[in-house]
Amino acid sequence: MSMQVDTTQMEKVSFNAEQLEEIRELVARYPHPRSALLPVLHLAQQHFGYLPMNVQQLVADTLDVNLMQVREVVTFYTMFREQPTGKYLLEVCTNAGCMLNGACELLEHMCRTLGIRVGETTPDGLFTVTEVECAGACGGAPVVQVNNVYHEKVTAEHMDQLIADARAQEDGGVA
Amino acid sequence: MTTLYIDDKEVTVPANTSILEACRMHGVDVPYFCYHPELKVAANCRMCLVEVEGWPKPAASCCTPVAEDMRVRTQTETLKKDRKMVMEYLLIHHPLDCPVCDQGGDCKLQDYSVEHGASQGRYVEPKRRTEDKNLGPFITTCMTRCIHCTRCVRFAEEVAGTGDMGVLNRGDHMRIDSIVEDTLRSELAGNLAELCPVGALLDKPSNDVSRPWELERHHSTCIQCPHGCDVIIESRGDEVIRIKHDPEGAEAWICDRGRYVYDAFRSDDRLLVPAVRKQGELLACDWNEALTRARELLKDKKVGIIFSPSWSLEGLTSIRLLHDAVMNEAKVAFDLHRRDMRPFAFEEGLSMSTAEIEAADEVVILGSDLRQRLPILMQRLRRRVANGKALTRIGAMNYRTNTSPGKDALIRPRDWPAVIARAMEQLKDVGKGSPAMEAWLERVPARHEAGKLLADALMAERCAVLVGEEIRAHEDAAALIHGIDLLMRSAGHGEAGDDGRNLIPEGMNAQVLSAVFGDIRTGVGELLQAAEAGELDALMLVGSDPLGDGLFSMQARRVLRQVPLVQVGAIGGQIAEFADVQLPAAAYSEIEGTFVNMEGRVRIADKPLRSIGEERPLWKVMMRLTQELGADDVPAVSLDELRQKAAVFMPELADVFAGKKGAEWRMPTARNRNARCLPSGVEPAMALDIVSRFSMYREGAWARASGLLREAGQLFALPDVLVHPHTLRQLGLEEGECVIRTASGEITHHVGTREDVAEGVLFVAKRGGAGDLSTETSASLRGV
Amino acid sequence: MSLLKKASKTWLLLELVKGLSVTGRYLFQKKITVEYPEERTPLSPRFRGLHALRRYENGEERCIACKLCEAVCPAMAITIESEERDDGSRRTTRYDIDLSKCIFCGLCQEACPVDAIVETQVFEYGGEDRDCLFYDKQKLLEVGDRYEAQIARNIKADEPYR
Repeated sequence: MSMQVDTTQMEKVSFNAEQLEEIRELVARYPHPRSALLPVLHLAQQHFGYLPMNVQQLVADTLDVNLMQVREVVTFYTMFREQPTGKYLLEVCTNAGCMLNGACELLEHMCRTLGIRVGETTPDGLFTVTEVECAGACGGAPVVQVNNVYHEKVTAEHMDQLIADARAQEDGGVA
Repeated sequence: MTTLYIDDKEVTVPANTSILEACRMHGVDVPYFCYHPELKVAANCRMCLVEVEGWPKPAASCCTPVAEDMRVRTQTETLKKDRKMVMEYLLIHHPLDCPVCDQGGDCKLQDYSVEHGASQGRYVEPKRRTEDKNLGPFITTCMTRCIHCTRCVRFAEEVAGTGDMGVLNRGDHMRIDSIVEDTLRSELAGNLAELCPVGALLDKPSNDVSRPWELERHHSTCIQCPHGCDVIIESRGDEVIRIKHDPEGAEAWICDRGRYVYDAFRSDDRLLVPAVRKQGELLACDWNEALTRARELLKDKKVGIIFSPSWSLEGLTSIRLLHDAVMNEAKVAFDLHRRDMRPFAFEEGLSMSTAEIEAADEVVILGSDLRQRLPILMQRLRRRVANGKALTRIGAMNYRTNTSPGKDALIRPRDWPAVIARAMEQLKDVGKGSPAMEAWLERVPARHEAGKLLADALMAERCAVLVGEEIRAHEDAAALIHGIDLLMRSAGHGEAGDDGRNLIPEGMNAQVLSAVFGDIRTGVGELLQAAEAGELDALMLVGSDPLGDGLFSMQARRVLRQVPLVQVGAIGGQIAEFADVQLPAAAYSEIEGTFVNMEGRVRIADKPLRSIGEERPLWKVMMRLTQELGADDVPAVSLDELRQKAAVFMPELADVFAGKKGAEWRMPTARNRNARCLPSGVEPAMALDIVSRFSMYREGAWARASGLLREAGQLFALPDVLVHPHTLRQLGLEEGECVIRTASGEITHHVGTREDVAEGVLFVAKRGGAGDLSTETSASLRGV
Repeated sequence: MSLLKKASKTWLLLELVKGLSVTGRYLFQKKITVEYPEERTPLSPRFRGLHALRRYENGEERCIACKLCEAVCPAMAITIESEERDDGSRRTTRYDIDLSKCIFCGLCQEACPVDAIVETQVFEYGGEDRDCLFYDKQKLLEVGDRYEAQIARNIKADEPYR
């Protein structure tokens, strides 16, 4: 798929005052504004959930770099996402340690429970399941990272409970 | 200077040179892909590995600076193995499609693969395939062949200034991509094809047409702008396949106008046979018949001659000889872009070389669309800005230069006297006034703040002032240029050879024109006026197209309808419609000749292509015409004789032709010490100033005859008439159809808006319904 | 040589008998001449005769206009012009071989990366004027279509030795 876009047709987005203040602080740490690209992208991803082209353009304008330079960084690092994810991002480590402790079966179970494949999002937009390389917590294998929170020694039951809890919370929130 | 040993040979190079550059300087062959002398170092192809004694690993020579007593080895067994390995990696995903690849035969990857690679790859897994990009009308892509050297990415960033190419993803998924859909918006896009070391980016118009080994190469000079870049015309037989940048030339790139104009060489618009008009129709005939008809029209008549400045020096001289021999009374004009014919304090041409301008302490652009007019000079200035040097620009539009000059002012043409006056005031304040300046200042009551930028820049020790077409075409140009001359004099920029006074000419050979025609030239406006008043019996256009170019299209159209026309030239164009006789002259690719560029550099083209029809070099046509018109003695019968005659006007030329002046010698521009013109103080009649816009894809008969440039012009076109949105709002109007009123009448036309146009300026293209607007200097707008 | 020996050789017509005996021997031996054109000698699969342009099985012409044959041709007998076809592939718009120049060295066939230009075993292509020795793309493709079976057989036969 070609990634060429018409930059004039994009919806405009902006940072709020609080974030701008934070960006100012980040920029002040480096000799050049462009050096703050990574932390600002993290901040933008936290705020917007993912990094579509208009957000990348916003970051580029904020730091006075080319859109292309931002895109180069975003596509280089797998932790930056150009596609939206569910509210709960379930990242299952399938590296050696976790794999030996049943991560693959766990992943399969999760996909079955949620009715999606790896990399997909549930139709209600709640869960996205992805496979990641070593999360650095092999002592607690298998590890599942849910929105930046590590869950160690996860079992299928544990996972079902987690998903059910999240669902309940969402339903409660809606009601 | 640093001394080191390359393969046991002692060499001395400037400090901080890279090992690769040191090797190149001393003719040591080190293979490389990603290194390019004009681009920043990326060091990502790893092909240029060399061994340095005492270092544990081989070093990438392009990014390793030399050090004292370094011992470099470029040919060892280990390096052979390393290079073989690098080649294997580079070729993993490279398709084996050399027979269908246009780069085949002229390809670094191919050459190095034979020289350094293994005869067989070990990679048997499926190869990766990458989707091709659409990079506009001039570049075709086959991204599967890409080896990710990132030369194109660096080119887009550093040279074109657009920065819209980049490397996405990493590892096996790595690919070159661009942001903008459809096109790479650069006037230098054609260089990408030459830049790419493999066949990933190729020249679209000539794609799949030829192979490198069947092409003949002719060194020539491009005449499409005053820059006169050195080019190589590649031809197969008589057919021009493409035009390329000359690696031995003075500049590192050439622009798309100079590159793709070759489409005009083979276009239907070419004049290839003589023709005469019979019963309203132009019919091909032989030379004798056409010359006889020309004699009927021209002999003992009052004739007006308008010629194009882009003929060779010999061609131009022959026009003068024709005039002197048989047409003493004829009015001669060539500058379609000049309203004020009083002598200028400094005439057209640059007093500095482009490299000197790039290196100057300050550069000021006064009213010029350099990106369209002199893309290669603009590229140098862009690099200057990127290196943190100052650039000041004052003009009617900020001209989309792909760089931010920092000091920028948008003004209307009528503000020029006020701008110069403000700068004079500032110089006066620091005690650098002069009586002449006082006299000038007296005539201008207004002051414009943009003048501060000009005065500030002039305080620098070496300041290059580039005076552009907005001033040159001004009705009061002589006064403005006198004012600038006064300013520079006061600021201490005395009259030396390279004193920073640069008046950008409209075409090639500006210095020649001043010398050869200085005493007989008239203005095109004056000539056309005389013709309209019935004072001329016939008009002879020699390569000039006053309908499509310049500031006199409306008058020219009226004149052409009533006066018989002899057309001499290489391109018929829209003039052909009015011609009574056509005499075909050879294109610049087909002649031996001398060309002088705006810097005064002299280039002699001596290996021309054969002519493809019955056209003859202009000087032969002119001499034949002289004979026909009754000269007892033809002034020159050979190129050598003609050059001797040219040297009468420009004595230094004798040395040039004798080979006594080096390639670096530059012809000085003309100066007029006594041109002391004061501002007229006349305000334009109407509220809005008209500035006519130059398009590199459309201006000039050659460009218009080239289908390739026409296509690009349509792709990159802005609305024909542009104003600042504020100006429209102040008038209570909306973007859309408006009535534009000028001294010569009213037209209804679409008016577009752009924020980079100065307020109070009507920025018009020289084409279509709005084309004739450029003949006027002011206008007013109202609703339909 | 003695005078006597020389004289006897002359007068006894020994040379003549010797010569006639060779004639006589061949008169009764098995004949190796053939009655062309009714009879024909066998040809090697490597025989270099009339040129042909081949197609793939789906009817697509093989030639990709790489011009290697044109470049390698020592007699400059081949002329090729090419352009990008609408589907983006590189194809010839002109492929001429002037057989009056051709020296049948077979280098074109060797240079071709896609086995498009080949020399068939056909050698009876003479005509009444020089024009018929000028083969354009159309004619070459027709030759290819006509002799494809033979060409394929020859290429297969030669394959083990390449």
